Amino acid sequence: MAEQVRSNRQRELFIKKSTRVAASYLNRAMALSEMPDAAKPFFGTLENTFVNLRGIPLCAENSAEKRKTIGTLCVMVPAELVYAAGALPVRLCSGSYTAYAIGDDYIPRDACPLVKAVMGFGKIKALPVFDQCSLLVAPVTCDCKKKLSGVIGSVKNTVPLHIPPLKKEDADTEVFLRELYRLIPILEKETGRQITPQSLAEGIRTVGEAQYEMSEFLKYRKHAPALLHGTQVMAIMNAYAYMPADVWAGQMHKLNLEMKARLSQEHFISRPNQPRILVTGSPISFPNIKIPLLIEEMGGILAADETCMGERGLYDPVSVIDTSFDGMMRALASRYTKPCTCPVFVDNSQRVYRIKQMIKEHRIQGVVYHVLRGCLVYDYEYQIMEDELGKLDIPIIRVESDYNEEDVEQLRIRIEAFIELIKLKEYAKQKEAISEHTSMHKENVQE
Amino acid sequence: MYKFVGETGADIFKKEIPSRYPSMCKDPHYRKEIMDTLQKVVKTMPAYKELVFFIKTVRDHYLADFEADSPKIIVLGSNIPEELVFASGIMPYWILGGSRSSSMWADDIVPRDTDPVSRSGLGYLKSGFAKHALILIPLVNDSSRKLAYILKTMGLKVHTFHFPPVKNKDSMEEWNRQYEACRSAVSRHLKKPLMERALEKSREQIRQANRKIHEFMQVSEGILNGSSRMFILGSYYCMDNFSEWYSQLQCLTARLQKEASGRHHKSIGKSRVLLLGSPVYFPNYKIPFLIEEAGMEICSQADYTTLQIQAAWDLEGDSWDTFYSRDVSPAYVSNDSLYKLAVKMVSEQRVEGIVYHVLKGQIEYDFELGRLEETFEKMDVPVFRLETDYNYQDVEQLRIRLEAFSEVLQQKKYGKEALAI
Repeated sequence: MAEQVRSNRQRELFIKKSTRVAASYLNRAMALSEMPDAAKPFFGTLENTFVNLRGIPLCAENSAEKRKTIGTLCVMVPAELVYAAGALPVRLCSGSYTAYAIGDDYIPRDACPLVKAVMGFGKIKALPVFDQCSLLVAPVTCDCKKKLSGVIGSVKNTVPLHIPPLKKEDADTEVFLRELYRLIPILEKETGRQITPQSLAEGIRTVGEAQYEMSEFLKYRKHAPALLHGTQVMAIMNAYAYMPADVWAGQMHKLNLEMKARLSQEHFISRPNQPRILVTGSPISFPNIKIPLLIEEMGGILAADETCMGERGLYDPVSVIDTSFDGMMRALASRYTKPCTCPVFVDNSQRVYRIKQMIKEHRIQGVVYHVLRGCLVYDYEYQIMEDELGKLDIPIIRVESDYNEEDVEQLRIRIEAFIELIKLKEYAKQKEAISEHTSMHKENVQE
Repeated sequence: MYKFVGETGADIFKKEIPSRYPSMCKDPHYRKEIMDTLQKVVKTMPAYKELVFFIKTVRDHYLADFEADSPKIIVLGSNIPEELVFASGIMPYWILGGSRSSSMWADDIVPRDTDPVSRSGLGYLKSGFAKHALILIPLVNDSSRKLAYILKTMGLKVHTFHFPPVKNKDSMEEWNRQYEACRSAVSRHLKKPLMERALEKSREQIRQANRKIHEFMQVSEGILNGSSRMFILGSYYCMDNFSEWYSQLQCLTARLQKEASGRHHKSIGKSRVLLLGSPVYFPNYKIPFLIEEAGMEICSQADYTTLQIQAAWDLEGDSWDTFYSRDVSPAYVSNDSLYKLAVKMVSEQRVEGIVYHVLKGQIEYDFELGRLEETFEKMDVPVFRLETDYNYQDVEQLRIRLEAFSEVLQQKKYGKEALAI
């Protein structure tokens, strides 16, 4: 009885605190200047999920469709398969500080905060989106997620999904393909619906639409001066985790139209000389959007991100060449491993290429390398990134953070100094260009 | 200009092996570390001439000078089936990663939170003697994956061996594929085919050695202390001649059998503890020394390196892929094999307490602790978790904690005896 009272009290406190934190970050992101009207529904989704604590309407007990929800813990779970089984995939990688504090009691101290937050939600049972999930598909990527899939089985029916650590050889893709085939009967049993070639094609089409809208959106995102804030983009990308892909794509289409109008009216939200920053590294999951917010509150523009909760999740489309069932499955296995730049793979030089490509396309002037405490795989790749970006004369800063607000002021000072550094660098470049121009002019006059 | 997506040739990241690192055996700090531990272990050993071979083997392994002859095959860690190298007729050079000095050599290329075992392994390889070797790396955790890449970028020849994290029929198939790939890699590197007959012969030799090690562990109890037994077991990964090592172990076991018949149990009254968690590798014997100094006896060491070479499992129906099925490393989602074996050891070996050793950065062991702790609590066996790294700053703190644990075990024992009376 006393245990029950204590548990209820803890739950009440949890709800109060977690909704307050989520609301505060939502408000801060929305308060950034000139948020597009079409972005509001994405924020609405996050508000419903984390502040109003509502589940996904389509999957509610009293809804007409009453679709099953399948939780996933990483971008390497093919959403197409879940859609093909008639369910809705929900990405449960969480950024909740309150859930992290709960999970801290069940997960070792040095584990990454994301894993603790997932466990926290599993234990406290106060996030309807989490509780709606009848099954959790947990890719075995890093050590923490590997061990989490072992322990979270006590609170949620969990299927570990083996991700091969190599991806170059066809045999490695075959390993993942076998895992996907193993997943099919599990999903079918869970949803009561068979995955047919037609439903799989439909699943690929549904996610493909979202990817198409995303690729259109990226054209606007690359524009300098910026058309919208990167923090808001991060929120939009996070909302994808809790929205059906077709609904998200539809809303994204409206956002693209608004961006198009902004571009034609030259309606920019940044000055031409505002430092353009790329954020990469550990996942930035809502409500832990303190790094993007700090970048933009300190005068930078978050022009691009190379994170799994951001662009990476939707960047590469599934390319189906062979339309047979096996052909589609192979296309899925290939898409979810080969282009993936997650550092859990042994050889991840692709990530360096991708970041360099983004630096060029998005006209990036500085990189913020985000490392969540305990996220060793990203930390390992920092040095190579520093070396490579050093060759391009692109400044990079490593920021280590946790799921709490205690380090915000320290991070603010470091990010502010980094932005100042970029500005000074740009001024020095301009000055140099002017002096070169002047000396050339003088030489011409003398001749 | 930089290269873009789609361009091949990862050698743009290629770095030369730095030449400023001297041959490891010439580093005075490293030498001192090896010799100090060696002397400390030897001091506690009885003066048997049969032990000399093992002491020399360990010393020569760790202080090997590779200037004239560098190893052809290097194995990082203990998770590669040995027969894959033994069958070729050469001995691998095992790097287990227990040195504090070598871990410091890698400080500038790994993140701060990297575990000391990975640091130490990388430090050894960075010292330059692996230039002509094939390095076999079992992919069992994040660090091993990233280490493999770092070593590749240094221009070293690396072959990775992946351990599927869920043990089932499919994963066994995948492990077999990895086994075959490793066999081909070794064969290609040595330009020598590894025939099935040679592999089977090596497997049989290994099985025999495993039985002999098991026998040694049973016979040596009470005559040799825990750290000495640990040392002899560890010498398996230092040998350069398998047959010689095997026959020397036979001689030592025979001598111990003889001694055992005419003497009393040396450690009567001491609390018997099982050392679980992160493996203890030479020369980092800080924890076993402290346990013994605190008045406890290490009756067994249950880590994946030690258990793999002991016939602790029922060897009936043994086939070559049992290396995978009986592996108790934390590379798995749910390490049921370790759980079952630890419970078996506790109930069979009159274990009075568990020392659960966690090396900083080896998070998987911490994840596994919860389940074991719950079970041992039901079995009324206290569990003591200690976290450390390869530094010596925490020795006094650990000593106090271990002494307290020893007292708890003694009190518990007296309590039980009093109750019985």
